[in-house]
Amino acid sequence: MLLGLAGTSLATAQSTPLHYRHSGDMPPGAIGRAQLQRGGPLPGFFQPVEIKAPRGALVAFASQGNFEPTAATPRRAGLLIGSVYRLKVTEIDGYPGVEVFPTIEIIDRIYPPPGLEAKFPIPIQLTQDDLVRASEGQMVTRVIYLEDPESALPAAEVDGEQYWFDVGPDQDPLLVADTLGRPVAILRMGGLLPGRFGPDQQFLFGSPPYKPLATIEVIPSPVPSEPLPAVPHELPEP
Amino acid sequence: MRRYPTFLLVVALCVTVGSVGCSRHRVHKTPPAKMLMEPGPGVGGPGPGVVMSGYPMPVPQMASQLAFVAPQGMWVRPWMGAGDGMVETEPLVAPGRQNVLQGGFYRYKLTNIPGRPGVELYPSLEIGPATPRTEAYLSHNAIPIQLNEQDLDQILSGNFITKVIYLPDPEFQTGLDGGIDTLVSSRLNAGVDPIVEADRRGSILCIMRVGNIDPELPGMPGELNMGDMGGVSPASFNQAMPGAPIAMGSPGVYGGPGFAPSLVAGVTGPQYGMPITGTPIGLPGPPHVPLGVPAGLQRHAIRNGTHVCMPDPPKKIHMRVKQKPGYSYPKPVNRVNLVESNRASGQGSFKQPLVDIFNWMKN
Repeated sequence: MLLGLAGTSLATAQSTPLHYRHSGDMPPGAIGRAQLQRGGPLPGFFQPVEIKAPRGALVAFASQGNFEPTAATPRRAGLLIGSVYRLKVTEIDGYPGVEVFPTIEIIDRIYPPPGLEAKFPIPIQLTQDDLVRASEGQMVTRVIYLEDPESALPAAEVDGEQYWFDVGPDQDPLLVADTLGRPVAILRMGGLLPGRFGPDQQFLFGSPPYKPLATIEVIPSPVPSEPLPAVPHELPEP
Repeated sequence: MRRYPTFLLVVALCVTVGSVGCSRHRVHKTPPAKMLMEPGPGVGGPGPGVVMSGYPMPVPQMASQLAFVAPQGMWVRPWMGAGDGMVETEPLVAPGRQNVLQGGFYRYKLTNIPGRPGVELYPSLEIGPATPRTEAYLSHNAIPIQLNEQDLDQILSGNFITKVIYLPDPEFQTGLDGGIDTLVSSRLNAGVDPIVEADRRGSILCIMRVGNIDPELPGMPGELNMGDMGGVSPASFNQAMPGAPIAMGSPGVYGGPGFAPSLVAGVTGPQYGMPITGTPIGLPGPPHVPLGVPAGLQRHAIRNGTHVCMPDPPKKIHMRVKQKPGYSYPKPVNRVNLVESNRASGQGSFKQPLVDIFNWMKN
């Protein structure tokens, strides 16, 4: 009797596949706008993000139809959910003169303790490899998700470098991210350049407003004055 | 006695014709193409007889970016048409980029091709419209346009090639070429249409057609306006697209950019009802109107001997449609079980590490 129930439950679980409404290759802004229609404390909320670029690279936001002066990273800013923000990345190490224009779409927010929203931004990392691939004309889509605490990777980030998974060309990064946690932002980049007369509103996605936030310097953890006792490799003899 | 079989044969033939009708023993033929352009059978006039109330508003068109990748050093010019007296614009040297309107037709002139001295090619580019499938790609990447050595050999040997650059669906993704793929007619099996095949595999971004024709030769149809040649219109670097000051070519969309109907009676064409056929005396206009002289023509009869078999329209239509594959949606949900699990704080062996407690932040 127990075996029969177990078999039935297994068959039911296998016969109920998930049907996703969104995919990673949807137009920029479509997922975020659909998210806003679902309600909740999303419209008008400036989700803090922290943008990190490779060493030496400079990043600029777009404002009022043009790019602002570039600045070093990390940079923190509050971005609206559902809007698409075009960035400008220059001074890529080893690629002088190359400019990449990625976009960031915030599709959901995170819920840190009240009053500490600015101290826990969504980390968005522009890696050297992704920037080089994009400058060569490849389409790079990076989905940033909030890990499921039940299945989070039990490892600390090394030097603040974000862990990432490379999905295959036949896989949807948004779907994979959804199985690992809750997607909150999509970073896309390719080899598109603005026209000879500069970026236009189509290129900048209307240059939506953003809130610049002060970069918070994280003080390293205090080093214990006395070294921790070494863990014995062998049990002491009685 | 011999009249009986003949009479029966005639009666049987009449019954057969009466029951079957004229539609059984006659090959159906459609009217000429010019007549098919008319709004309906028996309706004259040069075009659509209904003039819209007000002009259609221009539809904002989005731009795609073309990246002329290879061969490097090639000169790319928008072809202005032969004999138009226009000065050739400054060439775009590959690798270079140009913004074009989606859904437009463009023709370019390629010169200074490395390793091919004196060769001039005139490819036409048909830019695909943006779809939800391609919008993310087009807003982050340029469409690569390139001709390799094999393509050039095929063209110069007299072959006409069609290159279709498309964004493959996930099941056809190879992970190469930045996520897009190209189909070339010369590398497909005979009878395989690259456009149909690319449309089956994904979403078309651009179609490039190129042969070895030189439309600048005297007497070539290229001397005419390209708008008369199937909608391919001249392109220009100097014409800005609406909404963006980007130097680019003007698309060859029928009727001009942003306007869907190109022929409006009385506006862009003759007034509706105005005959366009000549009179028997060689003058335009109705034959009964005297043109400055007393009417002399008393009678003008035209007998139409065309066999007409126009059956009555059916009173009832039964249509059966079927789509393959059919729809198979999951059974709607009628029961939902929600389980919300919260981790116990500070319980068990998973505690916050000691060193992290002293992780201070400033500001």
